[in-house]
Amino acid sequence: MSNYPAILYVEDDARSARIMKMLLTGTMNLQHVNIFEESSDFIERVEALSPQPDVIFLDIHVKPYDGFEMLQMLRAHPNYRNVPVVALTASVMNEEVEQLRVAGFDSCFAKPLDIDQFPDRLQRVLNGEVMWYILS
Amino acid sequence: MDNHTMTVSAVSPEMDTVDELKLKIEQLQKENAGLRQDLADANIEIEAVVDEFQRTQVEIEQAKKDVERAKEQAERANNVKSAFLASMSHELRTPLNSIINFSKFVAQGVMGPVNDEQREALGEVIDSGKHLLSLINDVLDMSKIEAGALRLFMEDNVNVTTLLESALSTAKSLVADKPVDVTLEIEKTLPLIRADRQRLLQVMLNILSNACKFTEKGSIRIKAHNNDDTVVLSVTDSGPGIAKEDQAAVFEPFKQTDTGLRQGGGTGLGMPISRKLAEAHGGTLWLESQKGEGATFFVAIPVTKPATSPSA
Repeated sequence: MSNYPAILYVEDDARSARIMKMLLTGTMNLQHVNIFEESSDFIERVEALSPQPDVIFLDIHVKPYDGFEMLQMLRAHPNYRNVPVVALTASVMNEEVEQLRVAGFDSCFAKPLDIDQFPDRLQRVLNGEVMWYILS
Repeated sequence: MDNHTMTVSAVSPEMDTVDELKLKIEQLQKENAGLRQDLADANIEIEAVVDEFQRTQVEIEQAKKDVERAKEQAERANNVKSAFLASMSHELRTPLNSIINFSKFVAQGVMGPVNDEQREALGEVIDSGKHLLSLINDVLDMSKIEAGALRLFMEDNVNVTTLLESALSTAKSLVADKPVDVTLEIEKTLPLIRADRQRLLQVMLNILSNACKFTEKGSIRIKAHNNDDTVVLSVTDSGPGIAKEDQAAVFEPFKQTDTGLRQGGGTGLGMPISRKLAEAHGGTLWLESQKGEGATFFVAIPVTKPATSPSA
């Protein structure tokens, strides 16, 4: 099991969450994978994580706080200001992607998730690359 | 003054000056009355014209308001359409995430051993899922274009080389094990352009996926060169070519050529969408081909020209 990277994923769709879990802990053999199925007490729960996340994936249509609100909370927090935050969403019409970009997400991965490309893309995000190529 | 002269000459010479003058005054008074009447008539006419003018102005104002209202209604309808299409996209993509990826996990043997037959069947599920995804994307794009709701997100300094390198790697995976050589040739002095990166990549991938689909052997050459403040991207394949009479249909939605229908299995929307996207960049997309001699698709994008929204 690999200790790095520690990953947080916020996703309220149980199937999408399960796919990500199988990919990260199964295929990629990562040890520190946390999934929140809703976003209440979001920052408090992120602060309680050990180890702290190296990268955060956010679904956009989450309650009570949506992806944009969670991003704002993270960016307002000194510990998470520079953690890569990736939108993982099925809303990938151009307008919506532009909103994500303007809001300050570091990257966007489209659903359906390309699980074959995912390990490489994750590495690139961790290296500080910004990826808006959502066509695959 | 001819009238006066005649009037005066008609008066008898015996008449005295006073009578003459009286007569003249009467004449003049009559004329004056006539002129007054004329003036009054003219005034009435002017008033009528002014009235008419004011009515027309009111009508124009009303028409302006009607147009404004119609425009607002159309904009509202477009926003509703856009929102609907966006939510459709989201709702259709979410289940596809499960269909494609759970099938992949099972096929990979993550959930226990699978035999070849099962793996092959799962491969069909995955391919169909991906196909469905591309159909959904195309139909939604076309709907957006027809609704006038497609917007580009233009960026300055888009690097065509990076974009084409990404398209090249996709094309290489698309030709798979066919004996087709895919090459990329880029002019060294190519300028950065103003473009919607994602949409331009989509255009090139549409062209390339057609080239890969129809080319069984030979080559697919991707090129880019600079021509008078226009960057011209082209894809030349050694496929079956497109007969002159079939070339217009390539750019019409839902019209595929005979060859296309036999081999393609797509929506036939890729090229119409791509042409609209090129036009939205202020550019053009065209093809040159002869039956049996391969085809070249060209995309010309102006280096600096600002883009507009594509219209239906």
